[in-house]
Amino acid sequence: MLRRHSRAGWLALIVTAACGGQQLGEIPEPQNVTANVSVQIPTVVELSWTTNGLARGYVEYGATPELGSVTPLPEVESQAHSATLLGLAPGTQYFFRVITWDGSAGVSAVSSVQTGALPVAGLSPSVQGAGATHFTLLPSGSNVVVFGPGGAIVWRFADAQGRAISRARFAHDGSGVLYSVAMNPPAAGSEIVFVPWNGLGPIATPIDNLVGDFDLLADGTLAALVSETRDGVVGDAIVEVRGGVPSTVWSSWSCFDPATDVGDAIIPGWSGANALDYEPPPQDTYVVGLKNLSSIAKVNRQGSCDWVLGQSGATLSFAAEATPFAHQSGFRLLGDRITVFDDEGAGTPRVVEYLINPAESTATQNWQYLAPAGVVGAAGGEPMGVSASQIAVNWGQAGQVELITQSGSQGWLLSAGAATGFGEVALDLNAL
Amino acid sequence: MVIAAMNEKQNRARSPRTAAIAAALCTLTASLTAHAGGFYAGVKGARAAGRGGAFTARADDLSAVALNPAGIVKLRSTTLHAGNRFSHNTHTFTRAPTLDWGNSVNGVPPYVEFDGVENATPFQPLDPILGVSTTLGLSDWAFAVVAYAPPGVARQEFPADGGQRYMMISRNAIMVHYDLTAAWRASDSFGIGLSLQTVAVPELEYSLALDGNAGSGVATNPVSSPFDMQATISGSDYFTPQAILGAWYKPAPFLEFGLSGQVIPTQIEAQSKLEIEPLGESLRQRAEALGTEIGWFRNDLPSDNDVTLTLPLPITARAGVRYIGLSGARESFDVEFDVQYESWSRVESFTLNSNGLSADLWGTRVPVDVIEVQKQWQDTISLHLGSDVVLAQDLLTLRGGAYWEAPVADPAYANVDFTSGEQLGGALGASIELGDMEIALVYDYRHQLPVEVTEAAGKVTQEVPGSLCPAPYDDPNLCAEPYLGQRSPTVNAGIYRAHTHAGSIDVLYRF
Repeated sequence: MLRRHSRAGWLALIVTAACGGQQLGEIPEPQNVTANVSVQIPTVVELSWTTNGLARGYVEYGATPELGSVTPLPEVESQAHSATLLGLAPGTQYFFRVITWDGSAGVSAVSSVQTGALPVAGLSPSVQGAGATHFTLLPSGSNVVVFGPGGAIVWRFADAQGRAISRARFAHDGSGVLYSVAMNPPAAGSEIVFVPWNGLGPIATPIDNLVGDFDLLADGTLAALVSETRDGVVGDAIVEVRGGVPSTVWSSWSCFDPATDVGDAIIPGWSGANALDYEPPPQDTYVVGLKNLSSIAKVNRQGSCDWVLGQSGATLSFAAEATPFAHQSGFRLLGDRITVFDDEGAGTPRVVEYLINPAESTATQNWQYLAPAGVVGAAGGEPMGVSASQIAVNWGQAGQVELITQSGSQGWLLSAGAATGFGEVALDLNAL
Repeated sequence: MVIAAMNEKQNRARSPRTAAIAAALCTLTASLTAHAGGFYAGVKGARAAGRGGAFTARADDLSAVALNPAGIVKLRSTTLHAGNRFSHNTHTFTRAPTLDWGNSVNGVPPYVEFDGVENATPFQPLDPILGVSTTLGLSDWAFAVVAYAPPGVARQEFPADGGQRYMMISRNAIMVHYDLTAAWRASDSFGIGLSLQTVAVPELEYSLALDGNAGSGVATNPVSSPFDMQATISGSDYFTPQAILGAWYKPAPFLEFGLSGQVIPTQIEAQSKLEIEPLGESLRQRAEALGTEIGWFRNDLPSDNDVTLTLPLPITARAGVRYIGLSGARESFDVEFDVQYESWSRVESFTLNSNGLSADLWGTRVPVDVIEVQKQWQDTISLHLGSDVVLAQDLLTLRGGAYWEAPVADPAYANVDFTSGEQLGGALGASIELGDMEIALVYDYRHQLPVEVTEAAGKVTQEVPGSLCPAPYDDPNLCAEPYLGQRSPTVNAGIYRAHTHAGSIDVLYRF
């Protein structure tokens, strides 16, 4: 700690000299640094420290003393600080140091902490190939699991009631994971559960008639697909839930007519919605997939469709050389490109990308990637965006995730060892 | 006693060769490339330095022209004084670690530590004094012509990629004082003197790194910028007049007072050229790709790269009291205590005024405008205590002294260009008399107490001529968020250490 010396006269000057020079300013040195391994999820390490004055801080950590990873830097200054180390392998020693900033930079000594063992719950993950840097979040049975780039399970949470989980997403504020528990058929008692990274105190938000998929808005609003019945017809709706109160923003009747857009009841009911994505501002829209109608609709917050691509109620026409998708699962919309996990349109599961042009009401097939022979039973999957060009294809029922670009496979394949539901990927669990 | 013996020599020798010798000495001195100055450190003259600078009252050699011109009148014989100071000046700096906001990954700036750097040109071989004094046959007058380099660290060089580079990369100051002194004594107990000097600075160079990023206009690269460039200002100023007034008073044989001061506020205004070389990778690539010279403009018209560098000089005052130990009529020892004041608060900044110059850096126009290296120096006081002890009359005198100097800069404005912290020093010396010749030797050790400043407290900030962030630097749209409230990143945080080993040898010949 440095202190500005008083200079009240000659005596002070002489004392200053005797003390060994002039020092000005105080470094925000991290103090009381403690590291606790989560009891619930022993690959999560929670750090805390204090500073004498207001400061911001983060943690550098890694499996070697060279460190390499960092936690986020908070925007707000405080004197009591905390950070969570994520993506750690079980049973491994990790090194860390705390960095602080209040206009000056402070640093702690490098310390280490040992993570604990993590039950794998019937999964037998393995990875072929290399080159991936992302983490993969997948539900499998009643578990939600995060796989590291090397295939190791770095986080796992089991639903306390052993219920099947169909969709998992990272919380946008980086605080944990959410997953949905839907009834089959949709009914009351379904819910979306938030689990903080340390696994302690999960919070459930009941949403009746959940279909399965949901997404998050930036303000924490939950948006979910729910089943809605009108005049005996079982359609679907998007509900937004704020403070536990749901409000419907769209239903499949808004853009489709059960009389003309009949569907084929692959999923019991009429429209068979099975996938939902929210596009943050400036789009501020939803994209919803309706498996029974083999259509995908872009829906605005006013409850109408900007466009529909597919085989029912379409406002966009496939170009002549395009092979339309059918009974699709997940998708990814990125600008004017939509990448679709197509279960049946090409006779074998595939990932297909279309360039859409709403102004001209056309969709042109850009590329496709057929499920490779080694991926057995691929269905009900999704393309998960790793970057603008890289996609991690979740081959759903096959329990495998493959890294591809439009040029083809990148040679990295994660086998979870069990069927998986819808999930997400992240390059950095600390920067979600 | 040394003084009595000296006076005896002075009285007997008034050579008609004086004028010719003086002229020759002046010519010789003027031809020397006197590497010295900086802003002064140390004491001119081996006899004065050997007393830790406590020489204002004694002032009985030609270093008196700088310390107390009235002392010249004590030299009653023609005196030739030639000497040189050799010094080894260690100056190290370790920049404080910082966060590299310009290279944040996912909003997290890396923690960056810096290697220590040190002055690569520590040895200074030339720091001379050369002069002659004469009474011109007048009983109560004495005159002197002296040229000397003010004591100091003339040259410093640090790595162009070192942690200090945004403060300074190198500097070189060649300064020579040309002096004409006249002194008069009213009696054996009182004398006054006046030195008229001109400070010649034939070479003044200062180099530092700038962030030439004119693209985003946001100064947020505390560690390095792809648009880093080295700006070098080099110029000269051959005439800066100043005057030193002095007096001594000896109310009793054992007691003497001295008082002197540089009384004209002056400043060096060096007409200079500004040169720029690329340091950052982006500028290097542009320079290599385009292969053209930098274009200079004023009011969008091609212009010379002429600029003005202004360095104020201080007003000084010295006061000393000397106790003389007598053995019969001869002096056997003395002890002197001096206080020195220097008005360094005149130096608020080193100002480079380009008069609206802008540089075309291979496609990017960067306004140079006014570059101000913030100094905010403060007036200083120094204390000097010294003594001469005659071990063998007319043969050997030992001397010693010590001093303390207040810091010239608040640590917030610490910089590698000058040692600006508190300084302590001590000296040991001797004079050997061989007939009419006296050889004075001294070893002087000067130590700056460490100066440490944090980034939040530092006030010397990176020069970013293209920054769009306006004062008071709190516009979040135009200023970098981590540096709101300051014009750019602080670059002088760290630990400064300095010390100097110096030796002087002077030869005085009285005839």
